[in-house]
Amino acid sequence: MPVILRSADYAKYPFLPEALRRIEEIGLTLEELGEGELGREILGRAVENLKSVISSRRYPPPHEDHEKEIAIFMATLILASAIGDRVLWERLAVAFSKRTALYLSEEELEKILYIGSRIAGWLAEPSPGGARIYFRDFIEYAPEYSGRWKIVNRPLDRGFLEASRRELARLAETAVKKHVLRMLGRVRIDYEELPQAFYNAIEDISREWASRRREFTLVGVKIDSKETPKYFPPCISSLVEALRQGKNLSHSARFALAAFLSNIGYGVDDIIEIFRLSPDFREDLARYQIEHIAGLRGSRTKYTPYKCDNMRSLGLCKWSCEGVRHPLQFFYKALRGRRPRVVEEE
Amino acid sequence: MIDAERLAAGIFRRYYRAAKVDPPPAIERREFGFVFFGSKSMVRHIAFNSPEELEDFLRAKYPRHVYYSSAYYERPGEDRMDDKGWLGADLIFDIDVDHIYTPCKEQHDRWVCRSCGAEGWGLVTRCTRCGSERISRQTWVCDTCIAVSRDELIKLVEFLEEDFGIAEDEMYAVFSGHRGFHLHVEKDALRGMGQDARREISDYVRGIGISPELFLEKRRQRYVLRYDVGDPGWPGRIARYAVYRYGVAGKPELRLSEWRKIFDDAVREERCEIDEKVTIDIKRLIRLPGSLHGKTGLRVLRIPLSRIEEIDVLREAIVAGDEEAIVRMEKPPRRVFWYTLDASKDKHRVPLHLALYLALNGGAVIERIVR
Repeated sequence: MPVILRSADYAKYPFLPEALRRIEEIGLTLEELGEGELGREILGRAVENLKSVISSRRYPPPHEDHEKEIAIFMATLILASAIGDRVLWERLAVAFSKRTALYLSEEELEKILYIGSRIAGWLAEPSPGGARIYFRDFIEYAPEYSGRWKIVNRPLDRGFLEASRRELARLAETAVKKHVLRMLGRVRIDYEELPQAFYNAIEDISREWASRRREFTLVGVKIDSKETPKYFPPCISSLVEALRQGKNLSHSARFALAAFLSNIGYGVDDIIEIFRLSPDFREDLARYQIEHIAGLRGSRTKYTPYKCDNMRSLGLCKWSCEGVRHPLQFFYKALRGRRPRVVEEE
Repeated sequence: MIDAERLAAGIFRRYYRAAKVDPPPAIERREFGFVFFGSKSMVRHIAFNSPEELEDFLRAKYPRHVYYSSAYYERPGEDRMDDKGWLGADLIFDIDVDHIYTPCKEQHDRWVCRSCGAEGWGLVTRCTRCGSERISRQTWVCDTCIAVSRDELIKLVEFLEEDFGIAEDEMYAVFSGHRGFHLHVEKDALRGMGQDARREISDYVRGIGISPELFLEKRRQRYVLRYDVGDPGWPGRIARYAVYRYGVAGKPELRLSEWRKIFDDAVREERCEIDEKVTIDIKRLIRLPGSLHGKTGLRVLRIPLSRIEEIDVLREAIVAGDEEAIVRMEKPPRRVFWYTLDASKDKHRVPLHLALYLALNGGAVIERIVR
């Protein structure tokens, strides 16, 4: 069945390839952004969008003129891309996909499937209960991996599974988020062509973002081997406890623990003191590995510990912590006095 | 006395001169890693532009271990992983008897406690005398190991075909050269999957995350299964298991606790024991089919799915000859390949292919080869 997009759809879904083609039709170029009445309006709205995303994690509703909305959307991406911070990109993509989700939840099935196929290559076809969708597309865009979203809990038949219209809308929301992130990564800016007004806007937003970002990156953890363990999630506490009892940890358990400690600010020596409890402790080996994990050796990448889903798959997690997807998230919440509720699973 | 390393190096050299090692598809996008004779560390980040380059390399260097990336990279030869430009990866499964219970480990695997010196047969996680977890192990492969891991492999293939719709010609099995199998899925549509998606597939075949409540419906004070024996996926597996195990036809009404027990048993029976780390990792190096395994001297054997059930894996994987050799080894494995050894003796007359394995994997001394 052919899907017909109306102009109102372009305003809701300005990321669609056919929407982007419309800007070419109005013939707006980068040099004109911020110049002339139209350019100023578009740049002004893009700045507002980003400021709203920064201050309240909300992406404002679309401009009533769908062609302008498409241009504003693109200008917003270009601005965010010029600032270049992936944390900001992620926040923008999430906020934008949340706005899209409002429309998707009301959308007819065919259009949801169409959007999924256009931006994420979905293989899906309508069925009596919604649609049959290829497992790859379901697991790639599922919002979480538990309960109904976990494919073990659904009949999976030769690669395809049934999903309801509502579930498909939720999958499309993640697809939009990932699509926006991809678009941000692909933006190429010719800085020589950039008008002055655009530079000013970048500076303006950078300043605002920098002050915001400091708030949540610098939590000011003072490492105190007596105090900080109080904020550890149960998975990490149990690893420390296992070491204390002289148990031998698996390779992945060691990695999880060392990466966690390194990420919350423990130095290599602090971490070594903890691993000293290990039955097969060898300081030279331990130091080498910990320095590697802390990003002081080899590829110089600082490793982050596994997220909750991975901890579970590796058999390192048998808890369920409310609203937590990553052990570090638990730590930061607890540190701010909002310790997540923990339920131990059977 | 014969230097086993040199003997192995010679055998490997002759093998690579004559063998036709099938290159992986898109060889110019793969990273390779090698361990050479006389060295313990891996040389990696090697790239080849063509199958011929790889062939020449193998012929000239006859490495002890050969690995290639399941991943495809823009620039596979870059030293830093971040600079390689990841493009996608094949989907790989690893079945290894290290992770599975087998009755034969009592016959061949040995452990020594590094704390108190106690030793024994079988697979233990802690010393049976002092409780320490500082254990050194020596593990071996026998025909039972192969039979057990083959059963897991067959289960895995069923999951992939029936549940995931992967066609027979989109995957193949590989004998790892030691204690298990790998399964490679080379399918364009699945290459781009990230770690989360791969973990979901791994959890699926391992039966992790099943929530019985989602399969059940409350009826009066009891519960009935919402699914039928003919349904696909885990729902159908659970339904079939319930019938098979309890002989209950139709829709039994049971208490939640009774259902939980059935679910637990069904999952234990039906799941496939894979090493999840291999499947989740999108930048892993895996043994190249057609190469030789440096601890066993066996060939890493590519096996089309149609041959899984009938193939005599160990016999086909053997490269070294049958001439008899005299080896010296205390407490050798009692069962190894398809041979039985007398562990109370320390001199053994065995075929060369076994002598080589005993020497490379267990430090046996090859005294001489009998013509």
